Amino acid sequence: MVFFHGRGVEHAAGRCAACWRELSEWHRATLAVCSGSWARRFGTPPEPPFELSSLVTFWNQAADARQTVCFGESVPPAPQGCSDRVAATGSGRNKSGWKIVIASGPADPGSREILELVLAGATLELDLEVIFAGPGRAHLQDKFFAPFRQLTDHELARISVLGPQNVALPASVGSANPACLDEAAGQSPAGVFFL
Amino acid sequence: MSDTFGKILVDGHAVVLDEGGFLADAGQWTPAVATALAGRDGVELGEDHWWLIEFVRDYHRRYSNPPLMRVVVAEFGKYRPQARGSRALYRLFPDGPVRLACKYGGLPKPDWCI
Repeated sequence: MVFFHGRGVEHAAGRCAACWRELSEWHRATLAVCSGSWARRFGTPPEPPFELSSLVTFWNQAADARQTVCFGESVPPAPQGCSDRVAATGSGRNKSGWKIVIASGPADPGSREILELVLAGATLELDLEVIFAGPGRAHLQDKFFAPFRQLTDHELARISVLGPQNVALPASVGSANPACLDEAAGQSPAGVFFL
Repeated sequence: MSDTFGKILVDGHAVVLDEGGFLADAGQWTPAVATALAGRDGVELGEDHWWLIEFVRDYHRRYSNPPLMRVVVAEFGKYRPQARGSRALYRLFPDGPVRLACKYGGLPKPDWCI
């Protein structure tokens, strides 16, 4: 299954759509499009073989998959202390928890949709850790942090931060060890998403 | 109260609704509006309905999104310790406790796929 989320749903409407269709035919892959992300951008449903789906479906599939790989629309610089491999993709089968690395800043319009991805995983009571890294650390400023605070207030996910701090950490936010990402990405079972 | 397509009249004020029956302008919400919206759906709001509506409104004010059902279940269990799981909440609003609490609470219709 290929799951399109956030700005990624534009693949189902743009020039890339034909390439994805071809891929789908070759590998009999399901092309699933996040219905929330799609509805915010487009009026009518995507054309087959793309089909609307939900983030909860995505997590259900990911939790059972042998491997889950996350591709961003661009690969940001690796957070300090992390290898490029971790920054480029995350992979693994989840048995011991998922790490979701947020490296895009709060000004990124996709931030809200990243939080939705986390909340969808929390719906299934998956073991989730959100790690703010690089420009993503700016989410920890008071004026941006409120939506993420629900994760710890209601025990939906743990939050930690990677790298040097230039803002005071909110209570209940821990520090992540860079080695934990390399370890998680290199050892199955574990899952890392880099967003 | 009287109503027309896309609009209800509550306490002499016209309240505008979107096509889903949610308030077009959250600033128009009052408890009387909640009662009127629920009444249109044949629901008479009781104490537990109000707890849920107020919880969802407060959650939205804090975090800018409605709560997950698992959060509501946990918090409702503290409010009504004898309630177990989501069943009591679906008894209140069979067509979706959080969605309808948003609707009657004057919040936007959740646009996510969770």
